[in-house]
Amino acid sequence: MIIHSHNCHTDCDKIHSYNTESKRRLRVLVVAGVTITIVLALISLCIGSKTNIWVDDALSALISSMNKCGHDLTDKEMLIYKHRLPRAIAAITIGIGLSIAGAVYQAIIKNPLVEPYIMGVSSGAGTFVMAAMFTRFTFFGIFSVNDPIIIVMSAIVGGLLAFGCTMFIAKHAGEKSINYVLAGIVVGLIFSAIQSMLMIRTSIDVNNAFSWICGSFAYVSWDKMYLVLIPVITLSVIPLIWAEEFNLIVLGDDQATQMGMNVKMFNKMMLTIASILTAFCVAFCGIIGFIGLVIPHISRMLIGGDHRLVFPVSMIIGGSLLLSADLMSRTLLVGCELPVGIITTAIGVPIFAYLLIKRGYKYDKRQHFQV
Amino acid sequence: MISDNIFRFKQLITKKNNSYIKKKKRRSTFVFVIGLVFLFTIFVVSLCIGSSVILSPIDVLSNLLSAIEKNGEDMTTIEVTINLRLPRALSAMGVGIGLSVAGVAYQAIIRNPLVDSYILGISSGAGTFAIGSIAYGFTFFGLISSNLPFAVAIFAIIGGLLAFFLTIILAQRSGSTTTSYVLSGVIVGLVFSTIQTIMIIFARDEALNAVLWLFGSFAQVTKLETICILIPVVILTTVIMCFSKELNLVLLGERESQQMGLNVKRFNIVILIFASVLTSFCIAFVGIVGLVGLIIPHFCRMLFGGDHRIVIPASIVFGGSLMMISDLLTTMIIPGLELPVGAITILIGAPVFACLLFKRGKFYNG
Amino acid sequence: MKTKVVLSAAIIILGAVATVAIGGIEESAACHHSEGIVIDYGSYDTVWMGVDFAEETDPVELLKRACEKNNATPTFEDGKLIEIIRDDDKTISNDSDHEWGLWYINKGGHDFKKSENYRINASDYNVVSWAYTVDGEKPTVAVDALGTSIYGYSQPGSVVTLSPLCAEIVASMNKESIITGREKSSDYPESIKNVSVVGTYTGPSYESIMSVKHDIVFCDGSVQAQREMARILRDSNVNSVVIYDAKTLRDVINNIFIVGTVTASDDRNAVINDINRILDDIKDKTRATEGYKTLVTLGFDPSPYVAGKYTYIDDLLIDANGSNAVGSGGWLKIAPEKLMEINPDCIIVIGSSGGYKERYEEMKGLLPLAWKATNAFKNDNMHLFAGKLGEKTQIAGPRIAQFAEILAKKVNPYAFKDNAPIPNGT
Repeated sequence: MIIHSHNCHTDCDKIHSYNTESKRRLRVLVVAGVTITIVLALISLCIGSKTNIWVDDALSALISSMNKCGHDLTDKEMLIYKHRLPRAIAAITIGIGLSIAGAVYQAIIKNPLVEPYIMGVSSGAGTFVMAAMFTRFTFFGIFSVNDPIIIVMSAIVGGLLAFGCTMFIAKHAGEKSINYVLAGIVVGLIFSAIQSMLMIRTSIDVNNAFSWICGSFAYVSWDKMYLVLIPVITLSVIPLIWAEEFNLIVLGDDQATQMGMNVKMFNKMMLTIASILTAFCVAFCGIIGFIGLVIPHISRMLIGGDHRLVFPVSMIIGGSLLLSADLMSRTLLVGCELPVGIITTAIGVPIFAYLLIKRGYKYDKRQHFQV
Repeated sequence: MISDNIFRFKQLITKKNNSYIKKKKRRSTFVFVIGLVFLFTIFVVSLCIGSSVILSPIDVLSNLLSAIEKNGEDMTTIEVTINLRLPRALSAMGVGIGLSVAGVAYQAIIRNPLVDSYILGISSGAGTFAIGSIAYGFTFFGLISSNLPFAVAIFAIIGGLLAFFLTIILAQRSGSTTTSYVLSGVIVGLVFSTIQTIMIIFARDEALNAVLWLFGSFAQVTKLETICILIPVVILTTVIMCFSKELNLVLLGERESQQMGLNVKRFNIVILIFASVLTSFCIAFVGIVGLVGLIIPHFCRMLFGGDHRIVIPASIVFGGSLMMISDLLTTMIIPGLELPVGAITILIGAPVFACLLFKRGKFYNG
Repeated sequence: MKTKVVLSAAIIILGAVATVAIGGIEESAACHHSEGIVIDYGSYDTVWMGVDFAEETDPVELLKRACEKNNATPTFEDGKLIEIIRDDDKTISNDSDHEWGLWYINKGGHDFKKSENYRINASDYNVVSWAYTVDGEKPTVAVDALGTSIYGYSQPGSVVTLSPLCAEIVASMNKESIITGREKSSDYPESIKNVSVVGTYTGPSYESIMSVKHDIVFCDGSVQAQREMARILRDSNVNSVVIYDAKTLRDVINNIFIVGTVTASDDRNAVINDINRILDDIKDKTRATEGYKTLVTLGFDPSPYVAGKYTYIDDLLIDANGSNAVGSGGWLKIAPEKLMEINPDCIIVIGSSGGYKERYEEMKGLLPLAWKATNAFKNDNMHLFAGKLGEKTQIAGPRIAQFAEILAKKVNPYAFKDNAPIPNGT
């Protein structure tokens, strides 16, 4: 016991020594990341599927449309203010949300392979959104059909349900990383069965439903933006506040308890927050896979396992990666929109494969997360 | 629990305890006889019951005989009905048996109780190729005409085997451990299902057919196709059953089985290939039927312990019966409508799976 | 620890409050305001007069103005409208089952409601219509699938269509020359293939739409992505109209009416009357003889997709005095045994793609067992609609009249005895 607590103290000391080196790296990464994000945002304002605008034109159009508060816009201003700007903001926001959700899952479940998509949370939320939309669910007439609040609520219910199922199965099958992946796949399978039943019973158009679920930022507009932006940013900030506790949790539940934490309560709250965060992301932009898996990994590779650094760096990288994925989704096929989910999967799967094969042996060891 | 089992196996293998073996043998014969009776009962029931008319077993038999006599010409309505139900029931039984036995093999070799053909990416690979053939008339660069009667089935088999080999190659590159098999399967599956989604979104007219294929149905299985399912199922199931002793050894651990003179690496690959071919044949004609290969072996191990000499026959019985019942349900839940059988097996399988884990979850931790 | 808990709670509450507050402020931006009044003479014959609601909102005064402008004369008796004499000297007056009434649609609503009295304020409602209706029926459709008025658009010089159906209806109004953007798979009429593409069926592209001339954008209400696109376009002050998901025959004609009204086409009434004339003609001819119990399927699957009740196919079968073999609603996938049980006398197979024609005989040989047990097969009464004909049935546009005619001849052949037989499987 004495040895145990001694160990803990050295570990904690290691974490608490917020040394100047990592501080400097954080500063460099944040400055570089923010710069890259701003540059990407500017590019995504300038480039489109049909019309390309020079940077100075784009900036002046942006400023003038802001001054006009979105009224009486010219065509160019309209394009930027009504389409490219909300898209860019939504892409950054969802990128932040999904990366934070992924980082939280990975830290609390102490498993580097878990992620909202792989855990089935996105499928659950997506299935419920689809059900609410296509069966014209009105919550017993209280809301109108397709009311944004109905969509958000069903996404949250579906997401939490799927998350609960996955955790339940994985816990009982032994908490190995494979079992989380497998449980997530089984839960995803269940939801896809429900989707197929829905499609057949309500005779909805298959491509319609599929393309709606397979994430896209093409239909984000200012009037729904508040339901994406504010909740996602709010919920993403919470884990930042508790970064130190996350570090303790990663060391082990015993150590964390000794340090005076209510581990069970903390885990439950944070997992719920991460699931709700995912549900908000899925509600309006559909299922976007692998962001939550890849981003925390990249951040940890860049900066180590200290969550005070992992969270902010994940936010920045997540935002800029999804922004560039969106840019690709609307420029790859001239004149048409590709679902952004396809692009993130195309980016994510090779990285996932690389991580598994190169570093797979590490996955059942906790060192992976530590400083 | 596990160590207890291992102890038993060791006793069994070293043949120290003759009475124990006798008891085991008696038990397995008993299970087999009861099981066959059970399977046959379900088979007869699925011939008697349907969405249109309910017949007595005697009617079924007499109509079946008269239909055979008439050689398929000028049949009465009831004779046609029997003729519709017979290939359905037979193919459902075949597919159920095939998927469950393949599931037993996968779980033994990979030593993870949560794997089946879906998780190893085989179903996704088969599905992707089948959709390519259904929705886009993909002909493998002109090699296989899409007008061939079995075009979709052939593509499904090619796709399934391709996905399987990709999984195996990836797994061996990353050290051919339990984990690497599963995770490679997951990656391959994800890649194929992404391709599937893209194809479905951009296929306009045939998208519905493609999605329906993904969820499986026994309605379109013809007599010829039933034979095409049954023959490989019978052969490969028998082969895998012959190796049940070796499967027991593999479960004990690599070192132990090597000591017993088994070339584990080669054995694993051969059995995995057999299981994958079996799965591909099952999927090819009826579409993707999920979770059967996962829950049936579990269920049997729970009931009869981990000895494969009992688990495989039991899986044959329960797999065949479950699939026949699921197929009955597809037309009985909403009478007259044809629901996708894959969705039914998933919706039946998922709660069973959760219950199994809830009750005996710790059992599998070792 | 405590400060962190308080801080987290504070942030969550702040976020929730901000979300609710902003959600309260935000109004759904609707760019299209139609101010005016509709006179609805029944059977899709409507007249619109735009009036600035700042000048006048009383519906009776609005009617008088509208009539003055259209050289019509309204007559009121006991404060009730009883007849209108039109400029073509047709008198349309109340009789035993037709009645003039004042109808309105609430803001944000879809359905017409009848006003008890005439003392309403036209500016309070989405659409106000003086309508001549049969008892128990509602006036002609006046809002699109998202509940926006279809009246009050100025004649468009350019039109963007986001689905093949929209393109086909616009073309039927002789307006194909003003189509400036199309959905990728639209190919009817031929000339539309030269028009630039503005996205796919499920993925319309905002930028592409904005880059072509777009006085009006027609979206298809059956696709969620297109409904969303319409909302976003309206927010950008682009007039967009969403046609209904064509489930019944009435929806099909409503869609044609909507497109005709919005594009201010002179051919609107002619197109609709043509369709109605053909349908009435079919009804007249088939009234005396009862048609077959018919099953309409998509493809030759052993458990086929079939048209049930509440589909336009069902409506067409009833018009031909035949009966639909399927009793349940919508498109269904039925079991082989069910196919035998309902035992249709006639089966119409709709093929989506070409190439069926050569394979028709071959298909007949390979038919599933259950199909061979039906009367339709035994009496050789199965028909394949593929190629151009199949297209007519799949796209619920103006070509539906031609489809209805061919269908009726197959379902109720005795009623058309004197007509030359139409070739099989074209």
